[in-house]
Amino acid sequence: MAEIQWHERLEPAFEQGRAESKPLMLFIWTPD
Amino acid sequence: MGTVTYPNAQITEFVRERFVAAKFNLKERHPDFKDVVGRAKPLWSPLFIYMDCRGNEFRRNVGYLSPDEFLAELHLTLGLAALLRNAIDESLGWLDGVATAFPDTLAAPEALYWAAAAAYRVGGIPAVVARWDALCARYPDGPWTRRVRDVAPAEARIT
Repeated sequence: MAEIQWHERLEPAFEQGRAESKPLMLFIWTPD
Repeated sequence: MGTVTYPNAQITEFVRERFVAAKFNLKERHPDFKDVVGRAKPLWSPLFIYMDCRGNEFRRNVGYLSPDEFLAELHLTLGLAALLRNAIDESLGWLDGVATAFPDTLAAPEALYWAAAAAYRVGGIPAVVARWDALCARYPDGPWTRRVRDVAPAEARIT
């Protein structure tokens, strides 16, 4: 099964969002 | 989230299809962190911040959500993203859809609240009042109903 593709930098995420007209979902997490 | 919600096939497919996802470890001094969180210091995680592709934040939510709750949250978020673009029909489609497809989730009454805000753009105050009445009838108590049930139409503060 395909997994969620997570960006780890903001600018590439913005670039993809602009290219694909998608909003960004930023997940702020802490390790268990 | 990483154990139960993200591996869920529906969640994975929906996120991949509709969002650009990024994750940041709160414990790391990430170079983009200030741009991610803005001026509001995160107090807890998991924290979700939703932005348009220009960096305009339009939603922030904290806490674990089960797959159903998270899927409803994502639909609600797409409704808000469409509202931000003034795509009212699309926005109403997503927001009304939350209450239809996920009626028992936390997001459902909130989606109806925001649907009233979207409806205002095309129907003015009468559309808001009609939708507020419907929200109160469907969800008689709850934080989103309390925001509207005692507000007289003339006192509504809509921007």
